[in-house]
Amino acid sequence: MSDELRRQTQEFLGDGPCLLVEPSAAFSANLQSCLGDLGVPLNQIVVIRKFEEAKLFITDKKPRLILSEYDITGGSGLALLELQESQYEERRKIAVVVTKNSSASAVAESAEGSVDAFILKPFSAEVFRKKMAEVLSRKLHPTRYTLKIQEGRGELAVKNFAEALQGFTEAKSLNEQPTLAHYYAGAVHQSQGDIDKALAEFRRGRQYQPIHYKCLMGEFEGLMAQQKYKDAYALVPLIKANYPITSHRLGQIFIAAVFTYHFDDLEDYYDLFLSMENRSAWLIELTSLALFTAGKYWAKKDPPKALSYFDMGMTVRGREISFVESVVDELIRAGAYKEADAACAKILPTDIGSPKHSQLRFKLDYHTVPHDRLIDKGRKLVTDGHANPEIYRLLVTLMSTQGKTTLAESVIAQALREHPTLRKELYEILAAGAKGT
Amino acid sequence: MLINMRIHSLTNLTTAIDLLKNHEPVEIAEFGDADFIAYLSQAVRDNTMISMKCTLQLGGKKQELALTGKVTACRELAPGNFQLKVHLRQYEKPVWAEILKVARQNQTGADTLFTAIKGEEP
Repeated sequence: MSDELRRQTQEFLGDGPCLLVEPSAAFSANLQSCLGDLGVPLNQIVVIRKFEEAKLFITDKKPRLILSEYDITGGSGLALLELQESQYEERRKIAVVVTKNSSASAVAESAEGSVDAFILKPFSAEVFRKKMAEVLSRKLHPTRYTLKIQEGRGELAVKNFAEALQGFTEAKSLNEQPTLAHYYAGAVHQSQGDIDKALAEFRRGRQYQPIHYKCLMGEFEGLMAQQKYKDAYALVPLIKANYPITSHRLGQIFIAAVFTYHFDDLEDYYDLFLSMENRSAWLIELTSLALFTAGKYWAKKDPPKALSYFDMGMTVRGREISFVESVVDELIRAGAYKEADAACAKILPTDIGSPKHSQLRFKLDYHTVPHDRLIDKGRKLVTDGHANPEIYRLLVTLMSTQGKTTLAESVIAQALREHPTLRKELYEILAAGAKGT
Repeated sequence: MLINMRIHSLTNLTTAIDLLKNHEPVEIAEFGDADFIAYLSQAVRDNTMISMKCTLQLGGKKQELALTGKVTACRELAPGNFQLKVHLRQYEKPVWAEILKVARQNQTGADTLFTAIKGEEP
């Protein structure tokens, strides 16, 4: 262990605490040993295993050095590092992810955030030392370009846009390929809502490095914000070919794909969705909506194809009955009764026999079963208290078109007890049916 | 690719005592060319010959391994927390080489992507 590295660690950390958020006993011991080798006294190292406790500690003690697992009980390591980021300017904190999670999305999300180094378990003391030496050197001896970028980021964080932009403009002259300076200048414009100027900066950055991650994503997000979905979607192949798709990005890609009618690409994104470890409620909602829209698009033109998209949507939503109901309704509307029946069969066993299931079955039977055999089914729904306005409408139509006016009137009487506002509508159906017979 | 190796029994070959009897399995924290580091709640004398039964998870594949080795160092980090360095004697060399290869590839892959995304990020 070089004395220089120990000196640098001491210089950076001083007598402040170093936080280890590590659920595994073996790795927390190993990290303590590695930190000990860097000269960090054991009494300055605090080991915490749970997210909430770590959050409280960071809020209270403000550790400048944090090493955290990516996956922690009760939360995410990145959220803890973001909390630390809000307390310190860039050069005054070190955030390291030490994790078993080697997925590309974990790496990408860490790199996109405030993480300074990403170390995979099991790691050797040598790898740990090397990473820490790199980070410490960057923090303690930044280049003038780096320093300008850091200063600008500090101003941007507190919304001092003019000062931030000034910093990034100065940074541009300090590097032969100032891609990052262009990115952050773009970020300033983006924060001010001037997307055109932001896009110009991101594109300038990409002239130096065509697949520069931040500039590429900045351009994609800017185009999405301007609802220029066609242009945004044109960047997707480049993004997909070079970088993992994070959960947030996948959601945006679904939006762009739907707005540009790239429905045939959705299956690929659906596979990406399935391969994701963490699927937010937002992503689930968006994915199912995109697949639903694709199904709706194909419902009349190609019902089997529509059903395949609806099937994916139902899987995404865990065959939630309200979603299945929307699918069945859509297929009925398109006259695709065979596919509607197949979708209806996807209802979870636990929902079979529920009011929703009975209603759905009745709606479907209305289009597939001879009407004279349906009246008793409908009356049973009413008796069981499972009828809703839609069922009452269908039932009154059935009865009135078959000349069962008295029966229809008794059903209307029951309907009005539950839904008084249906009066006019149901009597109109009755009158129209009676005329027809 | 996930690497996880746990020692379920760690027997002192001289005394035939299993040091992990009635203890939770111990995870190997660091892999070396023909050695490893693990953390135990009790001390083991240097030069003690030991045999181990382990489970290895390498990606989706799980297997059991039997190893023997010699304790080359035992350091007390804190009360009840001992760092054990073990040099391997009998072990499945191709499997061990595969672990090291996967660990290296994992870190290299992560480094490449991390740097690409950070750009010239400070």
